[in-house]
Amino acid sequence: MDTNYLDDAGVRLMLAWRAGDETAFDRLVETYSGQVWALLTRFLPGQAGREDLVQEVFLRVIRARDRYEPTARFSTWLYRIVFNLAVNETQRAGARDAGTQSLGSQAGEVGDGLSRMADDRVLDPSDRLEHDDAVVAVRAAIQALPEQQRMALILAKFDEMPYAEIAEVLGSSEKAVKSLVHRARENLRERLAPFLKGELA
Amino acid sequence: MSPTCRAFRLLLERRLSGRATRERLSDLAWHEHLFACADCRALLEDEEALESLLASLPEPRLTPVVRERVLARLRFAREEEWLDRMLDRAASDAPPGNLAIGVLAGLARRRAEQRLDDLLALDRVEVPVGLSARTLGALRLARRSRRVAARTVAVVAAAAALVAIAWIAWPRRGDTNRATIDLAQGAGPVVRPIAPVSTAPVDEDVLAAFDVLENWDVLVSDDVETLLGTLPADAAATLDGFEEEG
Repeated sequence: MDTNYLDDAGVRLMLAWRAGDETAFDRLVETYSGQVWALLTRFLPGQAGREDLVQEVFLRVIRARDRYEPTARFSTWLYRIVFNLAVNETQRAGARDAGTQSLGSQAGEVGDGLSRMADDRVLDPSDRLEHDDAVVAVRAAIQALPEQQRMALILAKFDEMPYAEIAEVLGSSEKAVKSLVHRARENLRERLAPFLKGELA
Repeated sequence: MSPTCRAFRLLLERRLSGRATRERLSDLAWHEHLFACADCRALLEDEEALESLLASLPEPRLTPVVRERVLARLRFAREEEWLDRMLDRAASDAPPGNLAIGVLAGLARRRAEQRLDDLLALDRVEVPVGLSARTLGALRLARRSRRVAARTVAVVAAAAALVAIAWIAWPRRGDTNRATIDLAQGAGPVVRPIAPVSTAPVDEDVLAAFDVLENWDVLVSDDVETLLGTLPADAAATLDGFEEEG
């Protein structure tokens, strides 16, 4: 067992639960469900069924109980579950779309219909740059990012997670994460160009 | 790009990693390099504006009502998980002292029955390719048997389906080549290959279906058979009656 993570509150709860303290699981859900919800909302904005996805994340935690080992901070381990689940969900939605639309997509850039519809709006913003329009556009631009770029950016920007931990979530390297965040910002600057000028004004 | 541009952009990258804020970026506006480089100045302005836009997104909040609902739904799953552990312990040398073996065996059978019902209620189940007609037949037999309420036959048929599927398909769990078993009543055995998806993980539905089938090992495992064998005849009859009522 790696003792480096035993100070992590989530790890301690998980180990307590594994050892038989049933109340520890409720505390895990109470502590982390908000973060899981926020992460899923940012990764899959506008997606129906997020409540089911939050439940599925913790179902996977339940299933992993006996084999759980604290090899990372609990949130890192949990976010990895969220990422895998969210990617599955995106690809499932993409496969559904593929049956009715013939839209090309690059490898790893599978998005759902919502993101594509919202994408049009990003490329053609209205003249009146109202705040809500900008929010819709930013969400759509984030959702249009390839999955790894999207998760790297969200974790770096909104969760303030260090690149080394993001690398663990994505099963990647710190260097690769740095590049992912760089390219994500580059893509956002490009897609949101009209809004950036408005923001400066 | 000039060496001074590269140096400035490295500095910018460092500011952007971790806790970037518009204020942290604005400090760079006085960097000497920017007086001579319009491109880098424009980049910094764009990054500042992007920070502002990202910061303008509302914080997603999970309401207490939704959290409670999730907790309640997870409670059922935990009961299942608890039952699994109890069953594991019952099969070991140190069965839990506060639960009768007969109760555990009854619970295991009831749960397996419910899961079989769920599985058989599906019209189509995706499974890895390579399943034999015998497997499909066993699955359909289980379905048909269920419909005529022949419980014992259904259990045996489902166990046969499990063994056949586990034997043939389980090692292929990571295989992305999939097929569809059409379970529709009256349809002949059809396996329709689905185009391979090179990068997609195995579909969750497949795993869920296997999860259901996997649990049938509770019925066919020697441990549970041994447990059932220890029940006196009248206790077994009582247990069956209890299950029927449930």
